[in-house]
Amino acid sequence: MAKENLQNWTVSWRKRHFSEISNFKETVYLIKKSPLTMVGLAIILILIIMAIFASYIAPYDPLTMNLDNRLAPLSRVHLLGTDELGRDILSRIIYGAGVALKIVLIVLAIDLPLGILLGLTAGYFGGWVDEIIMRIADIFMAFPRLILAMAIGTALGPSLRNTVIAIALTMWPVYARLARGETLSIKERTFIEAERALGTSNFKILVFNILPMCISTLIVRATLDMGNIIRIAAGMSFLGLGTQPPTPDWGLMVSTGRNFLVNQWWVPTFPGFAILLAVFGFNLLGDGIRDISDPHLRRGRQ
Amino acid sequence: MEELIQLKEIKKYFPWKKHKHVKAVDGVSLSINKRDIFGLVGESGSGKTTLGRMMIHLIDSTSGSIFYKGEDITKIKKLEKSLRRNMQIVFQDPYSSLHPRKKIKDIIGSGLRTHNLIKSEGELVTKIEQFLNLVGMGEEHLYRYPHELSGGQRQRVAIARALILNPEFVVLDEPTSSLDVSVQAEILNLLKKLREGFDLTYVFITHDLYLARIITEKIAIMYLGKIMEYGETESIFKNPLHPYTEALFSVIPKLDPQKRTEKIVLRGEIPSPIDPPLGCRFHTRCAKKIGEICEKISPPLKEIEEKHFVSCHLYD
Amino acid sequence: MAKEALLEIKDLRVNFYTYRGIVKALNGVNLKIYEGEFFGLVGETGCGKSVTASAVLNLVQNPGKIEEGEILFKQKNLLKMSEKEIREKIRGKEITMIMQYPIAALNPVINNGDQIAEALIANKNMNESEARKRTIELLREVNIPEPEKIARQFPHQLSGGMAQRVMIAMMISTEPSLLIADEPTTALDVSIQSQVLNLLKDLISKHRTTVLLITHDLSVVAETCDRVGVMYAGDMVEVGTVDQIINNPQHPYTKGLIKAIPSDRSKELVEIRGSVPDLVNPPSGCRFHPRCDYAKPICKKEKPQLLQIENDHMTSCFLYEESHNKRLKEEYAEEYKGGENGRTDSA
Repeated sequence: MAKENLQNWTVSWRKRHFSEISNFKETVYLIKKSPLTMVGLAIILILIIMAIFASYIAPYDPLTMNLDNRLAPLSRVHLLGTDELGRDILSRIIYGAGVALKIVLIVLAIDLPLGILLGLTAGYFGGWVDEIIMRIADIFMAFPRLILAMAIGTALGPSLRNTVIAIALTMWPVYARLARGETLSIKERTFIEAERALGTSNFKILVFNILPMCISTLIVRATLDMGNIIRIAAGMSFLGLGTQPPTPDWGLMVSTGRNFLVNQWWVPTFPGFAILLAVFGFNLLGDGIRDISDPHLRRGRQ
Repeated sequence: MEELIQLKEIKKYFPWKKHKHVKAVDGVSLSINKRDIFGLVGESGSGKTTLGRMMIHLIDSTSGSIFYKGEDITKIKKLEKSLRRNMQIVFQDPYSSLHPRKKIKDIIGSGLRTHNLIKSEGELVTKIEQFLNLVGMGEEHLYRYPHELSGGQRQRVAIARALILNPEFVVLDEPTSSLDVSVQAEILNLLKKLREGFDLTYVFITHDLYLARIITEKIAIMYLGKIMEYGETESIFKNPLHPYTEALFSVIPKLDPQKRTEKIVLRGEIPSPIDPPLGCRFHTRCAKKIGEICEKISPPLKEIEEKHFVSCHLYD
Repeated sequence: MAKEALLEIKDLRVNFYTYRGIVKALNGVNLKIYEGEFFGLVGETGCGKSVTASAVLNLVQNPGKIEEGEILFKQKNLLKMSEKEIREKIRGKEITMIMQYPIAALNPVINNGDQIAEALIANKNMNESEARKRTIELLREVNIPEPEKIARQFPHQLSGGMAQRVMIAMMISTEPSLLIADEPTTALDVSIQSQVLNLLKDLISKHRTTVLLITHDLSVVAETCDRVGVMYAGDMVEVGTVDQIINNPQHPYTKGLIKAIPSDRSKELVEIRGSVPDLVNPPSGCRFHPRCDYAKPICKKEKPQLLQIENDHMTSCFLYEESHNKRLKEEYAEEYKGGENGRTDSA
């Protein structure tokens, strides 16, 4: 009896979500069709696994120093060698993935909602609300990030948190602009007029009608920006403005290791590769998602 | 016959660049009774679309009054819910009037939720299914997206969406212009049927005079924001009084060669509503222009035969 | 005395290879257009009328493909010509085309006069001053007031009707034998529409240009055309003179169409039951049979051929095969008096 109910529910669920299911199938099909996107996806998945399961995967603790074994070359014991304090480089790179992804996630967690909120409001209501929000956006966008980071670093002391703040403060205007642009074009469309004729409130129109249409552009942009965020964060750490030792941050590792480039090349090189691979992976994935979201490729989508 | 809507010298000017205006509706007065099928006929720039939207308070007015059951709605900033429900619209383009990312169920159900007409999800689904059947569609369409439906089906959804709120008054803005000819007949017959069933009042906007003849009982011919002629459809067709109406009839292509009379040439282009001609709006193209009076004074609407009004100096 | 057709389309079959499957857009279309006539091709969305026009100019775009058939223009098969030959001699020269949205078809950054002059210089080997002079003449011919002023303006400054006339000027500048007009007045107001249609009619009488007008509006065809072809779902279902088609329609679809459109003679709109078929899985046999009130078992099995009913009037429908065959037999019997006289044919 219960089994029958479950079966019925499954069948009816499939019927009700037929469109989403075929949409999902189409997405998967398109992803499979693009080998570069698959590569990007694979790289990112590896990074995510490294981040989540670092303590299970990494052979050593990333902070344990062993001054007797400093700058050891690649060996079976230390697959990627050790750094100037005897720490295992491979383990530090694995833990570093988590640091990098954390930065990306926090920046986007701040910027996307903030950008959407301000962009939607500016675009929909126009007038002085629009002017004020856009001028503030302009001001923030005009700040060179490094200068801002240095300023925050000087004022509050350099740290991971301040890297995140500096990047978030300079990137939110991009999302606000994007959201505003989409809103401006969508709000004139007939189906929005139809909602007004039905008596739908402005809030509901924004959240349930306009927002769903902006989401895909914003997500595509966010994915494309992920590589940028990692690169910028690495740059800041490299300059000493961001994460501080002993945190296993890739940029920091390159920075402290650069003196050893000539004789102990593995110390700065592998963290450098990690940055390269991560940015590359995010860029491939971002491009892939953008192409897949392209309405011309998808049947019937407007 | 109860009067439902009355327009008094209603105007809508849209600001255009600096100091100029698009005079979309430039002084329209008419009245619509309950259960009328009232046609608004005109070419582009006539203002019929703008007027339709003003009647249901979707666009505010620059000056003049719109009385709905005696209440002047131009004075109200935001309609209260019971009033908003009563005035609905079906748009011309079924491809853009439905939200592309929403399911049919949510598109039709939106109004029901806003006006708290249903108490549960189950009730919502039942009611929507009921209306889908009413417009000739099935339950399987509930969970589809607009792009999966044909033009005719989308328009049926748009009709269901408007009617599910049980309105009194529906503006139909060229509801079949974007559809194929054979589908058009279906949709129009559906609209006729629904009007009987729901006791509705229609304002039917179209540029197709023969369509207006088949569907409407009363008609207003608009040109550049003003009404040229207005009255019962049959009497206008039998006896068109305004030179514009006459010219329109003569240039519309006809199936029967015998009905084709000498074509009244409409010289030139339709003037821009930003700088409409002074006096009678039609004088720049009128074959029967009298003279200076047409250039200076805009003729008032006069009742020439019973329930047949014209705005033309020929009948002063 | 059989006249030679200017354009003859034989058994044209076109498929579109899409993600959903193969769209059998044209199902063996036959058409003959004679020199100097105004021919109307009528049908609803998806019937294949625009595809037919594109095929004539070999402009069927991917994923479309012309599968088989012949398109004879002045007795030469266009489908067998090289792309180079078509581009140099046919497209824009012997056969030209105007479309529904003229402003979109014109180059927005070149002024109107220059666009026409460029075409003249390229195609008629004129020098600049000759071309400019001829441009103004052409603009005057299409009834554009103040042609010098319009020539200096840009397409976006033109109204729909004016833009269409500029297009027509450009497309007759090469003195084509055939002008294809694909829904040229659909986007125009009625008062402007009649101006443009009258212009096209004048061109025929003045230049002996043949016009193929494609439209969904039967009334437009009734007023302007000499002969009409009615298409449905990739098939040519009826061909005849305007009078024959409007006053003596034979094909059930043509009859249905006339009853469904608002016109000067309709008091109500009669629906055609059912809907236009999906051409990925079109109905078997006669594509109209699911919607036809007169369908017989054979209609589901075989595709009817175009048969002559009276002079110049043909339809592809099994309703007429019987009477057609009977007529043939009668003609045959008359030619050979005596012989098989007195034999009646069984049904």
